[in-house]
Amino acid sequence: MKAFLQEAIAGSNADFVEIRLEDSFRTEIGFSGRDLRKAQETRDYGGYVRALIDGSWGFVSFNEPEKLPDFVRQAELKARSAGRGNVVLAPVPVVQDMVPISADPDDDLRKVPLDEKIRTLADLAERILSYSNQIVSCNVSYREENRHVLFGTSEGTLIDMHGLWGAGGMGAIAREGNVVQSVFSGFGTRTRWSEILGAHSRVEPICSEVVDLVRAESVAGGRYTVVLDPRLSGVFIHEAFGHLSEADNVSDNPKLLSQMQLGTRFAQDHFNVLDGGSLPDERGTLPYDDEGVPTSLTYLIKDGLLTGRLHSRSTAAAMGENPTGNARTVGYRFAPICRMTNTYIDAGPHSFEQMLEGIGNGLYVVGGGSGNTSKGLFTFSAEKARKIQNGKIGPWVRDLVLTGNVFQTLRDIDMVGNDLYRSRSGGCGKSVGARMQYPLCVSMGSPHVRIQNVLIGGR
Amino acid sequence: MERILEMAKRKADKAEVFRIEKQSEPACFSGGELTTLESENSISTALRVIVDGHLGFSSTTHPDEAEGLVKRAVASAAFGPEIDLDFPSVVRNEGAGDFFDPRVADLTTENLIDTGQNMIDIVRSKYPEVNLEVEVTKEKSRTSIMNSSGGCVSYEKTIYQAFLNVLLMLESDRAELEHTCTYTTFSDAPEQIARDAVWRFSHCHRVAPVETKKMTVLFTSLGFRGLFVPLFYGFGGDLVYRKLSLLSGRLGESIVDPRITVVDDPTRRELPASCPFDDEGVSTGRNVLIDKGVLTGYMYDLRSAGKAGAKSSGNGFKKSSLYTGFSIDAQPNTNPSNLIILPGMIPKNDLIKDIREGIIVDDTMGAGQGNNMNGEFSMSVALGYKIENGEIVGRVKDVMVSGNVYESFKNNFKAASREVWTEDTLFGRYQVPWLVFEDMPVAAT
Repeated sequence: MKAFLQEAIAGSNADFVEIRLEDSFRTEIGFSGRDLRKAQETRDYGGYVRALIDGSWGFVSFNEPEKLPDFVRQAELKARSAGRGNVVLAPVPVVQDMVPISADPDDDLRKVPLDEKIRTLADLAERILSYSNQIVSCNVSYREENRHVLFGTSEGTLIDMHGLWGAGGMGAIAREGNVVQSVFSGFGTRTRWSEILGAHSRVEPICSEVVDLVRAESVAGGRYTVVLDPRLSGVFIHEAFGHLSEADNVSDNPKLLSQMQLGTRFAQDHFNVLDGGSLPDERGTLPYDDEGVPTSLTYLIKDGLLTGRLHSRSTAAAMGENPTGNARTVGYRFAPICRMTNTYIDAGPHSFEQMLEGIGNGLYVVGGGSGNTSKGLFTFSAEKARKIQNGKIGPWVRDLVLTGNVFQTLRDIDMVGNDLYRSRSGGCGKSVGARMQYPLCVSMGSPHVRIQNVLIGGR
Repeated sequence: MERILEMAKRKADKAEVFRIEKQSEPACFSGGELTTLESENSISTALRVIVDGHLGFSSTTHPDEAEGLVKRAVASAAFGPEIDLDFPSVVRNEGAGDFFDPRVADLTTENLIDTGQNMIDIVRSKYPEVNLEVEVTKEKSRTSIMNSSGGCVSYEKTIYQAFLNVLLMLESDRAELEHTCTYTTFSDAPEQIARDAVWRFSHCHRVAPVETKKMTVLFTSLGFRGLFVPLFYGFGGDLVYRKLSLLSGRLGESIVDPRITVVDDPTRRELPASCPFDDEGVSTGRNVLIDKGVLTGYMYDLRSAGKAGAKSSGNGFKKSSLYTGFSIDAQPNTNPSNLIILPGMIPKNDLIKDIREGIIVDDTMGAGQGNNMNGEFSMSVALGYKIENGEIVGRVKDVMVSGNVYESFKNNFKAASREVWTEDTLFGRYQVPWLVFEDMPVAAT
């Protein structure tokens, strides 16, 4: 296949051409209560050709690699029809490499048969459902992807890369009267089945929380000092700030670009945000991005100042900055775009107890959340929170929606905890044009953070 | 396909092969400039088998893979749900029939580029400074389904789609609009959404204050996006037979205002989700869900119909979640085709004139995040306008609208416009008029 790919590239007279061939096997399991709703293994096999001629791209995706020479010509034709454009690629080193999956042979996801995976999830579901009469249902799911990618460019880069991801989640649903509440916990690994089995230790906490939560009162809307737990602040930094750091979101938007000038103060001194595919063994870890660029670790905010952003080769060239190895695709149907890898707020100096000190009437917002952002504005629904009364953790409250402007909210972060945590599950979505590119494996990380003056709406 | 079906029949009691071949060509503009011309050529195949009364499934995008596909599907049947269904024995090749428009199929790359440029010119003529993203796409597909009951159906379909994202920078603020129009037939809809964008932004230059209180709310067809999921959710056969739907066992009951009629209609030639068969090969038809306020139907696929003792309504579509469109690796489940609310009597401009104080919800953030099963919705208004004494006086900011769709349609419904619009959103495809509700809780945040 390698020789075939190289031959197709050699046959092209585009200014630049790259080819990706991909073969992915996916396992998906889903329980709704005790019912197994999904247990399937599927295959996704295909590729793309991307050709650059006179500064314009032609992109062709396909499921029939044997017709590759035709698709190369189609891509060239598309690029020529697009006329003269302004795409330039930043120079990057030529890479020839082979990246295998390095797994412990005694603890390898791929060696666990489907029926054992199903039994493990069934057991999680059973434990959740039998925890309490108030727990009326649960959802437990698992998704594993084993992907082989062959990538080559007309510059001579040729990478043969294997990747493996396993992740899932479980949610306990409790009901009292008309109130229905759920609490969710994710789990995941790159190669080790034992990490998936570790989910068992999260059953008791989520069950006891959901039982408390269903009896909790709704939050009273208003402005609060909040402490975010690491899971939620990880989601916050990913959704509200990380997406703004994707260079393609700012490069053709002069107003946003003026707000996102490097060197601008974004937060208080002790605040650092990084993204990097080069961290070992995380969900968003990869040695090369999908343009064959070696990944790195990039400071996005350093000591409170905006210091970097996430680049593809073309956005780096357009903005006169260095490539960061952040061009990624969810699969061969899409050309790579600027995406996150492992994004996190770095650990700071404060203990959790220090954060609570001096808060008269605040909220400790806990757990996962789902969010929407639009160029600086964000809305998150959070699972749950505990009241903070005179520096002490109080009762649960529910139905929280956090809204705000990310620029203001970052400035309002006055304390950063010393307890960095990174998610091992979940995916990121980004839409370009009418099409949503989801899910991309990323991790979101943060310690506890304290934010002043957050607007909380009840539902 | 025959080869896969034959192999599957040897290992399974029943089998069904689904295949879609698609060629899609988007022209993509970013920052107002043409940046990429794309072409997607796909061949995707899915297999369902029933082995000892259990359902198995797999899919592949490898055009020649048969043995692996059959092996995975049969293996998954060991864990699959118990099922009792007969695949339909319909034999029909529709070819390039009602849902194939040669005018779309024959569009050239230059035509697509010209249309995108026209859209940009329309918006830029009024707002030269805006940031614009545009995509114009033509698509041709052939869907074929073969099964062990002897059923064999196929049809070809075209799609003509335009996407527009406009970001207007204001004094200290921004207004953003994302709009997609999708039809099976050729039309000037792409240019129309560009003209509509100009109308929308003409109200954005002034921010009008909103107080937290109950007031009249007008949902445009785009704003309806926030009501779509909680509304259709209760009609899903899967929830109905498990008695998890609020609408279970209520056929014949008056559930909403008598001026409301809702149909699921895949037979309308131009509408984006139209098709002669669903993804299980069941012939589709117009299905009246609410007739003048009275609940008259549910949506079933083969599986939920079997459980409920009903007939499939041709609503088995391969969609993996609320937030995604067609997906080859999703098994068919109950989903709407084109959900349609029939128009009212009042010209749209008169709807506005009749409102003393209220807001127009034109686009939302957070749609689908409420408790859909209960029909609840809660959304931030991403784009909306204030109405005072029958006039639009400016844009609203930081406003949330929430409620329950069934209660709103029963107790708060005031009027629907004579005009209707067809929308293609992340959650689904629908055609609706503008809808006005009175005394809705609006919260300034």
